[in-house]
Amino acid sequence: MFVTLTADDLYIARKLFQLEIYKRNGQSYEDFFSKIMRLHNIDFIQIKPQGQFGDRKNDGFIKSTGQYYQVYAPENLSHKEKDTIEKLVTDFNGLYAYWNATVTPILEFNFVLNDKYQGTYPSLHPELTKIEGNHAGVKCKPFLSQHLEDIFLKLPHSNIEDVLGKIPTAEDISLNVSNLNEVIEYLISLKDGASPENFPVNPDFEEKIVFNSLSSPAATFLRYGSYQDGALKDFFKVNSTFAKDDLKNTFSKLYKDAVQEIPDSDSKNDLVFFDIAKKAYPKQGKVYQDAVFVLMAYFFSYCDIFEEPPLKQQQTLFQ
Amino acid sequence: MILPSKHIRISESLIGLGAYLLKYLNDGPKSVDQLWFKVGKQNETKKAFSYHGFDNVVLALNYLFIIGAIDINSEGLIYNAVNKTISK
Repeated sequence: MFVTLTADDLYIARKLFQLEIYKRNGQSYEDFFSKIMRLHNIDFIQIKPQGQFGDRKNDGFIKSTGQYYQVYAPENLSHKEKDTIEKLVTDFNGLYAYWNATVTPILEFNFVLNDKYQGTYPSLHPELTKIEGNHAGVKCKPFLSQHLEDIFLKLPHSNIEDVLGKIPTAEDISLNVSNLNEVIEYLISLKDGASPENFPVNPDFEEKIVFNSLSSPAATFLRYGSYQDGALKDFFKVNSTFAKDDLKNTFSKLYKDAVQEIPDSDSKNDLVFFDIAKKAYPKQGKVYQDAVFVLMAYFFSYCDIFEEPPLKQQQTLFQ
Repeated sequence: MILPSKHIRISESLIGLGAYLLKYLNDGPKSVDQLWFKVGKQNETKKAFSYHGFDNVVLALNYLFIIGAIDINSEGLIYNAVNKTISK
């Protein structure tokens, strides 16, 4: 089926992609990178490590163009400057020794780093230039998260959904009560521990969206989710009454975890929003996504997730 | 959830249900079945503030027994242990 993503869909896809970048390290990042590269170029060949020889310092390459890719994705790149430079030098030497003469000459060496959008060390670039100087005809460059993102967003839309799963749409949210129980059971099993009661003084939905600087696509999800508030309250009335309290704790924990894990940026709150949503689906499927958005809107309105706007105070005359 | 909280109204909490159960005991001792029948009827009316399943009824009876509000007589029926004049 032909899939067309709107500008909002692409925005959401971008945020979901960034979440993948933030949470993936090591082999998991390499698999993610290889999947996108294969979808981008069918000539991309992924190299699997082979026994004692490993991957011979090559994680993937395109034979026809002589482009080679070596991936490095430690948990926290900012503390690994020395390791990164060492890996670059040893990996390139290993790659050159085996692949240049036996397979296809190296024309471009891409040192793939999961920099989690933080950029790379200035000290890496002289090393890359040094390699270029020592090996005539070889271009050396870092390949960062931003480069992978550019490639990813240019993929056909069906491929984008292949990588991220179905892109949710706010306008189509409909609460299927029969699936709600499954979502709730999953969420309650997810996390434990009580969080303190926080009674909002002024829970104004729209004001809270603005105060938390949520973007228009994220705000639309909350608004459309809140339209199903009545159905959700009816469900709670006849079903798991006490689950509401457990769910509050779960969502509040997911929110706090996301705030801690996701680095500061202009769109941090949106990333937090989609991170909570993604972790709360028991499995892929629109019905589960919709149920999660409705629950998120409910707990958003009670200020269990995201911050409560401060109460406006009357200005005093002599301030 | 014995006590009400941010998301649990008093009518949804066990303390709220306990109040209903004590009211049902006003006209004499009753068995668990009879109490559940009363709660079930209440659930069906529009006047019901909250729905309570049988599990909640048992939990609320446990709670009332622990705080000494109800007891069981020689016939195995539940009665109001504080105000015995109401339910003899």
